[in-house]
Amino acid sequence: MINRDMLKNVLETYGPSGHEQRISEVIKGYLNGCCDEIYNDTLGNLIAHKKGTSGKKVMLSAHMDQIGLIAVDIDENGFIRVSNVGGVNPTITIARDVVFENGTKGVVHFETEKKKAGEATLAELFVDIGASSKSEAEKCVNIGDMAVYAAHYTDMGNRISCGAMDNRICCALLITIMQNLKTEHDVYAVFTVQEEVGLRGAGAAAYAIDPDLNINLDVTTCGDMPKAAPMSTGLGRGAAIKVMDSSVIVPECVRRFLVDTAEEKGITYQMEVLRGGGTDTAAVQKTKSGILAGCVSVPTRYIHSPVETIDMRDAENAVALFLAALEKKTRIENRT
Amino acid sequence: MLQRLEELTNLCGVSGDEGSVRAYIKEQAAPYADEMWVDNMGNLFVHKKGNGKKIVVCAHMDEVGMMVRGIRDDGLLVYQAPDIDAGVVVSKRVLIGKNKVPGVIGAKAIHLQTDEEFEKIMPHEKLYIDIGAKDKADAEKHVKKGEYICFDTKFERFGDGLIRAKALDDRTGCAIILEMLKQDYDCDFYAAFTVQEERGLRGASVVAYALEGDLTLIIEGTTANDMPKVPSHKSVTTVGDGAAITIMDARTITLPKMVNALKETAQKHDIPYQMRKGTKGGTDAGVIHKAGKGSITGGISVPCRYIHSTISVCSEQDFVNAFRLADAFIKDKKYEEVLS
Amino acid sequence: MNYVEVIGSLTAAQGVTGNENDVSKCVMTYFKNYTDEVWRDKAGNVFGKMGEGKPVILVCAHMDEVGMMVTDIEDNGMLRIASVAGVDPRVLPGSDVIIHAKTGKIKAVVGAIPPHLLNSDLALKNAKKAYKMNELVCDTGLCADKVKANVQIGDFVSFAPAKPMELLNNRIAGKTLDDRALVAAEIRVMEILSKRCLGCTVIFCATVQEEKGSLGAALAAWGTAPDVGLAVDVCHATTPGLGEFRSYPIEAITISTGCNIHPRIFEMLRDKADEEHINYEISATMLNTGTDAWDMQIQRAGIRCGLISVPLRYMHTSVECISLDALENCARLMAEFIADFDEDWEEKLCFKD
Repeated sequence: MINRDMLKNVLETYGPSGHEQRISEVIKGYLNGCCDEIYNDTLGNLIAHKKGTSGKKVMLSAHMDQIGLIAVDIDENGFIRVSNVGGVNPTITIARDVVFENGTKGVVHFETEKKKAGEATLAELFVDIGASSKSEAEKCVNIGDMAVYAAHYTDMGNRISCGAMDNRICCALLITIMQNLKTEHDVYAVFTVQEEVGLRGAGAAAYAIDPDLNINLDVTTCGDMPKAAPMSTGLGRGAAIKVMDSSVIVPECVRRFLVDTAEEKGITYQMEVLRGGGTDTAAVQKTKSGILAGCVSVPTRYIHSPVETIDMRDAENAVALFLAALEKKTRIENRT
Repeated sequence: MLQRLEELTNLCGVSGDEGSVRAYIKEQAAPYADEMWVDNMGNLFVHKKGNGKKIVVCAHMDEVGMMVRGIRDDGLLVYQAPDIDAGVVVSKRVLIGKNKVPGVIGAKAIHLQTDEEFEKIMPHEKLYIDIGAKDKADAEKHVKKGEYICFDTKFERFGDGLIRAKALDDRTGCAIILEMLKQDYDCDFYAAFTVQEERGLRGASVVAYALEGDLTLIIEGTTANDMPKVPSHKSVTTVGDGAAITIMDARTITLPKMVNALKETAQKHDIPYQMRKGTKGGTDAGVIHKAGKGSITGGISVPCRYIHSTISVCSEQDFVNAFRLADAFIKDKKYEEVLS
Repeated sequence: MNYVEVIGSLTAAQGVTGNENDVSKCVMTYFKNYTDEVWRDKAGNVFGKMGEGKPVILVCAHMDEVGMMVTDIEDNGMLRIASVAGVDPRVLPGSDVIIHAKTGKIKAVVGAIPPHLLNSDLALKNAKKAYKMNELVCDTGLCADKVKANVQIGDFVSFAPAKPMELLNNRIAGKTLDDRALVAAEIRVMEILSKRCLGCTVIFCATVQEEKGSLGAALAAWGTAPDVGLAVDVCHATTPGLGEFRSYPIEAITISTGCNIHPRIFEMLRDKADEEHINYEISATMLNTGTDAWDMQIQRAGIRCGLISVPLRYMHTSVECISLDALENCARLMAEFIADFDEDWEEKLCFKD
């Protein structure tokens, strides 16, 4: 059901935290015609609204920002010093190619004088954009500009790999869900900003929309790689229904609703308990006097690297789960 | 404006105990205010009514400091200092509580220290404040548990156009906003003087709910690491290079259109400016921009060396330029471009 | 009100952070003894309201307890667990626990994989090191098929309840006295106030998820928009080896002051305690008090907060120890503080600059 060309385009579009305008425009392009109104709020969250008749508001959300590097200084030889936007691992950033918003390309390396790659901190990394002087570099890059890992989309059949899979896979899912939605509920699809720097966008959207229920879409880690940290989720075992991560405990009634839906429709699912991590669900849950919120995750290997890898069958299951859940008329309530 | 900065930095206003700063600002702002109120946390709001967009300028009143945690049987005070590097407090003078009881932070004499001790910073847990009390009962006549402690540092101008004082972070912002209150702006203008910024942006957490401003400009004192051997990309800002414009810190990413609007304002009026290079630290913008439905924030700061210590240093010109930039941004209605 | 009885039934109920259903039913039953206005919000917080008019005082004690969750089911049916909030893995080996499965409660014990069997030199060297969560298993004694049929990843795991033990000097020991003992104190305050005439509204709240970032108190404070927020919690009672001024005598309640606390509320509580000859200590901190008061304070346009704590030994173990005399003093102080509010409250709570 998920269109791979659309997915590839969404994966390859530039959009680090705080600079989501381009990705927002691309997503908007896929939603025209399948919703009643579409707009950006003050912080840049993209909100697509499809009106319903049940009187219940459901907010679906997925963050559209990606991690990146921000230019903080340019030296006399044109090397660009960077700091991180979100959780960037310096070691795997070394020897990578990156790209700035205006298309300027660069490669990342580090001060080799004293250290091995594994020991270098972010402050010892720099981006080489091919400039030989400060003034030449400044024609392409200003302090404050952000770069992201250059996208290398790798199709391995059922499994695909690319940078920004966190969380563009879920943006693609949410687009697909909106395109195929059959529901009587008022649905708001929110593509949030600035999740990677601390769940900053989702709360504002939830405050304005004030939904009866929020279900978020994000990626989660896997434990099925050699000697990986213990984690029950793995590729190909279905959409992951979140129970808990370090930021949120999903209310029993919400996860039960998702589990029951999956079982009724025979949709493959797995349960997710993540020892670390955080997701927009936490910010939404804490809005006003509390909003019922849950999360469905797409299991992903190598998160926050340029080779984030997923299984498309898990993604398809997640779409099926959402469509089935939204077709239901059940009221979700937190009862004793 | 400099006179006010002197008076403001000489006041004691540790996070949670901003009363004397608040009282001073209230008195100074009164002639220009249409309304003025203090909220449940102690934030002070000043409103100058006008038409159009609701523009908020924000500075925090609190400074880093200490608290009396307990009094020992020998009359020495055990203190708490969450924001202060233990390496800077030994051999400093402090003032305790409302009555400003003088005390000193001593340490074991170097003659009595082992070589190993000499190499290490003494942690706060091993340091005490001495007010000269004979014992616990004597100390309790002058000092109470839970009283706030402030460094005894006086404002002075020195060097080539520099200022040395405590609490430049963020009394510079308070002084700049007091000057802005004297101006006439064509907008609905609010000044928010917040509490407990140093404790994790606590006061500002409730500002956005109270004001629902369209745009908030944070005026701050920020880190300047322009010291020898610190490479340019780690310096954050440089004293004397102009008002600093915030791109990103640990709590906020300023939207690109806001950064550009401030840059253009500075260029248009020939106001010296620099980009704040660090991505660490945080200002009240961190909680204001994402509160409620979300709003636009921007940051202008005055570079300060040795921030969060007993004495910090900034440049008179940077201070004035930070005012000029904030003032021009609002006078020019440059915010309208950002909000459109 | 009999503290041992009330605390006994409150602590017998399950209520791991994020799954407070059982205990909330128990709390509601007690609250209903003193007021008709009892309700539960979306997050699961339980409220009981007494009195009329302004000011509105919100009193929060949390009802969640530290606990675990199933993260994985091994091939042989043994369970892997993670801390939901606040569990010290070192107290787990040899503990009785209960798995709260969809099909009912299942008894289990926590075992540790003996370090010398981990088959590495390093493990041998570390034989005396503390256990980590991932070295522990939860054993139901059931065969793998039965486990897989009943237990699901994400099921909550709680410490098995046991009746509180009565120690010397009116002290008791047991699990979850943090913070159910203070929920019991709330119920005691309701009992006292039900015989008095109130000049304000007081909303008692048993909050959820305090151990996970005080979610419940934040939402309760937003939802009820009180004029005053009073948190009651436990603090550390003195045991050997603690640093200066970081713990308090078990018989003395503490009244907090610092950034988290409105200065006038601190003074009101302190003066009231003096007047009532209550044995108390002042707890001073510039930092996060680590209680519901911290998140309550920054809801809406800001809420004036106070904090009273009762010292407790061995926090987050199954043998937490508290003094019932101190608990009663806490209840008395709360009741007198609340009863003192009348029409001049706004003036009383002004900042004196």
